[in-house]
Amino acid sequence: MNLTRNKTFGILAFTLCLTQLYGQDLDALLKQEEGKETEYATATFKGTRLLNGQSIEAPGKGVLQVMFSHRFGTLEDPLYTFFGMTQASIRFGFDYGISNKLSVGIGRSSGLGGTTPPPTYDFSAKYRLLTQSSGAVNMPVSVAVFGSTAINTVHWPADGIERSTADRFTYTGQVLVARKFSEGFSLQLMPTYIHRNLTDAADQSNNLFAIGFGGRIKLSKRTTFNFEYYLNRANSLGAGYYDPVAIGFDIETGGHVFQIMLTNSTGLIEPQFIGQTNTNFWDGAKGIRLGFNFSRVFTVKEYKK
Amino acid sequence: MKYILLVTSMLTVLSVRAQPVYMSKSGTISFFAGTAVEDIDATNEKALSFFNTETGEVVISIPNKEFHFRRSLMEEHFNENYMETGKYPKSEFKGKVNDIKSINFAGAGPFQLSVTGQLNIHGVSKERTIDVTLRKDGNRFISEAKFKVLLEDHKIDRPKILWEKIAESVEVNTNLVYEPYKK
Repeated sequence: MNLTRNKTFGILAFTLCLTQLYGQDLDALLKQEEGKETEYATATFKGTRLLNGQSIEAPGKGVLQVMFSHRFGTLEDPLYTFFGMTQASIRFGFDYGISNKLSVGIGRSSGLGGTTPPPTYDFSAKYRLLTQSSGAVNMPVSVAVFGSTAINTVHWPADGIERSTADRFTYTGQVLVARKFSEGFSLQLMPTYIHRNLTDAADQSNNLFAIGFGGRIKLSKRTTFNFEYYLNRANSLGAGYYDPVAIGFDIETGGHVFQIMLTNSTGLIEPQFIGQTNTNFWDGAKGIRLGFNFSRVFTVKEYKK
Repeated sequence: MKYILLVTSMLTVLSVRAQPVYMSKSGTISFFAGTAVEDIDATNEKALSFFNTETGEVVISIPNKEFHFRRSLMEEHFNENYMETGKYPKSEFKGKVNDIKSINFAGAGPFQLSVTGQLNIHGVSKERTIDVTLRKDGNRFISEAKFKVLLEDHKIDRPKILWEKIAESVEVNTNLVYEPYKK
């Protein structure tokens, strides 16, 4: 009899507990349900280029980006050359977002060889494999792959050396691994492979392996400080060529991203700035030049709602 | 015999006392911030809300990054420059239905409610009273509300150049579908 009474109390207590649960704090319920969602990192960088090289970012679906880039002469005699602006290498490029993961690009670099890179067409694609996230799905980094083919269209010099069409081709393959550590700080690692069918000199490797490293520090809502370095394997570049270094700023003004930088490279595509940078950043004004990338995006296709 | 009585009475207590907590996970929050020059509108389908029909308590949490625009550039500007979603990832409303005791949810509805609470957008809270229409659909409740949010109230900056394009006040539409919350 006593036992039964205890059990009865137990069940009653349990019932009370159940009803108690119904009056649960809504805030606690909210927290509990929110934990089941995944939050993805966005805007790890402002531009599709960190400075010289690619960033993890790409134009969104249906967005066309037009980019105009310049690298000027060195700052060696700044007043005479007006900060190196008496010479420039130029690239004009288009990038289009086919989906939010895949973008394709086409560009043309202009120069006449010598101190500026040769006239070259480049065709590229970038694909986002992973996106950094937290919550239900925890992914520490974003990962993208980038590939490009460049075709040098320079008139071969009349030096008696026979060259084939294949000698005009250069290929780049790159993995971009980025992490947005906080709103103000992102880092990126870029292992890169470049194959050139033809090199300028015998001491240059046809195959280049470089490790790129860069990041950004956000200074305000619309400006960031960026840095980028590509470290090449020792003795692969050949005499007179150096690793590319760049430091600069992103200034975003709604639709435009303006990047201004100090760098030692004149090239505007991977095989040129990684493999053919012919001044040394650490020589100071003799090796450093001003550069900028200016991009504007246009919405070609709107999302259907 | 005693047991049967007890269990039956327990079940009766539980079933008569309908569960008062409802959850909405499949709602739509949209806003319009355009002017004559440009349409700026976005939709968010990831809002999460709880509603207690007994106490009248309401909480709504909206992940700001889930507002999707027709143009991905607008979305980026919304995240980066206006809402600063990295700093302020959620918009929230916490409030209570006024005079909840006077509302008999057993009725057929629709019910006209007025809800007073704190609306937190862009890290800035403001007390608001919002009129809500609640319709009954089987064991679900569908809530609809329309209200305006002044950007200035929540310290959301508009750059001068874009003043022509972005409205000073944003028209918000909410449509939340509440189902009985199962733990």
